[in-house]
Amino acid sequence: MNDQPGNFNIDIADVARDEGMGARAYTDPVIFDLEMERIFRRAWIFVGHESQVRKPGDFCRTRMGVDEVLLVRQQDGSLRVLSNACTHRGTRLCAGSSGSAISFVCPYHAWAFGLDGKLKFVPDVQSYPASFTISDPSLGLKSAPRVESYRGFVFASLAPDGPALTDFLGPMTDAIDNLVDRAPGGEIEIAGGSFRVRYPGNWKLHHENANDTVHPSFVHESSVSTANKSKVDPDPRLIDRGQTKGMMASNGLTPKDWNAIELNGMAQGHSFMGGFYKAGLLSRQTEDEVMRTYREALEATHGVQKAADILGMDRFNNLVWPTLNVNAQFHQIRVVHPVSVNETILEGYCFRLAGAPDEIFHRAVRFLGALVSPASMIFSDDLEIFGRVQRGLESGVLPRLDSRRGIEKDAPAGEDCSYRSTTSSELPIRSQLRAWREWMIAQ
Amino acid sequence: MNLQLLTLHHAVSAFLAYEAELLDGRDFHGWLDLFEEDGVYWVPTSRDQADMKNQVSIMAEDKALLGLRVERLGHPHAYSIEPYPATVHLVGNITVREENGQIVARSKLIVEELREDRPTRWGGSVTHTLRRRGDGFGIVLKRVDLIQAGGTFTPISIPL
Repeated sequence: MNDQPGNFNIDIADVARDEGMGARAYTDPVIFDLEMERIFRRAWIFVGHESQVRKPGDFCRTRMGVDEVLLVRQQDGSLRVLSNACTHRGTRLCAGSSGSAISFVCPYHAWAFGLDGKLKFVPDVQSYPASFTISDPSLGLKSAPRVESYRGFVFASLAPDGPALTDFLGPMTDAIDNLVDRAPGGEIEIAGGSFRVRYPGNWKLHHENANDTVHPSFVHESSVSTANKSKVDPDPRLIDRGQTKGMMASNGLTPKDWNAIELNGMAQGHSFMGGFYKAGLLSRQTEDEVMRTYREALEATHGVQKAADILGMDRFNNLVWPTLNVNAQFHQIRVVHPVSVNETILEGYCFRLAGAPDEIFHRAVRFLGALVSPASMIFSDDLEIFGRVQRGLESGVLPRLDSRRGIEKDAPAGEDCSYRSTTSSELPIRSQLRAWREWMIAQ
Repeated sequence: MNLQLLTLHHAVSAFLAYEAELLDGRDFHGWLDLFEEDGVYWVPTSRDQADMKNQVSIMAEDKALLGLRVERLGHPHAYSIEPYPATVHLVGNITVREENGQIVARSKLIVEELREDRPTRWGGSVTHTLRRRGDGFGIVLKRVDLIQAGGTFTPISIPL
């Protein structure tokens, strides 16, 4: 890792102006490398959920930017994040996506590492010079200096110093709290499978799109109008009880709706949408038998008032910059993994809530399928647009993207340095841009 | 193979080829009509997937939901399929057996897709559960087990 990538002769402040990001931030491999150095090897990056690594030895392979890492449960119950590359010749250690191990043995020359990453065994060690000692810490797998869990959500930072996790998360802890508090049994677990989908575009395009309230009416027109014309009733005999149709129709926002949604953006780059229930854009779900049973279970845990507050949280698409999206209502998360300047992998997961009826989990599974499946009638249009943005930007015609919508109405909204806009606005994009600028400039 | 089974094998093979022809000819309403009223189209995320409720599926659609998909395929602003790719559905290695009054056909499927000069290929094993309908068959369940299932996907914008 290079601590002083001083050879990048780029004026970051000029690339990232409030009114819009310079196009090269999406197309220049040099900027991408700098992002890996200054954002992905420093900031808190989401690396998994504790339910994926329950027992000592359980591991899960993931990425922090372009660095492949293993989230590993230690013998003492703590968590470590280790580089997935052997210190001998750099060979990838684990090819499987998850599993349980007592040590990590390289397939090439059988160098063996403990769960803590320390080198334990090298064949033919007597042939090495005296200066080579197995206990040398630099021969161990690189281990993230900071790993912390916030209520089961595990984040790691490859920098020894930096903001504390809760300061970094700021008001986004509320979204994680809300998701966990929705479980009457107090615990949630990743379950039901997941999706991994690749798109030919820069990683920033995903979060910039997620809380953009104007695009759904246009990008998703084909699914909105199909749903609106359909005569399918939310019949309980249907596989999904009409859930998919409802999701498709919900993107049909009007200009009046764009201005009713509250947008919240934070200095840390996070954002969320609010005001859907308040403005009547979404009606609170009519309570069916399943929801009633679930609500009663939640009331038994939290009491009537708190249960109502938890279920009534009016926040959607809680984007934790730079890579996580928490959709607490639907028990979902999405994770962004940059691969190269013009290639990104998205992962989608859903949760099972302890103590909730099975049907609540079935709905979360169905939601994940309808929204993040590669065959999603909604998501596939977003992915297509990301690819088209990338192609347009790579043509080099546009020097700077325009993010000025609502820029004069960004109003400070509280002591947590967040901004709120109650008009149609690209505030979430500007929040991400400002955080990007700050991390990219900091030496 | 007795003559009766041979005849059935031939008829089912012709049916699967006809289905592929409808998809490649973009006659999606014609394709939808092949499904029985209680028919289901299923593309699971793993080979051993036993149900649609507890594990996520790439597609798990009854006729009503599949109807929505077919309607969207005809929408001029369905951007992920605008322009619509040229496709070839190749069906082979067909085996047919009859059990409990239903016909179960297993086959291999390769789909070649070309969109704006960029090729995509899907491949897998397909199980059709069929019911006799007039002279032909109706689809009770079409299950497509993709070799790509569980991997990293690019969008699947066309019916497989």
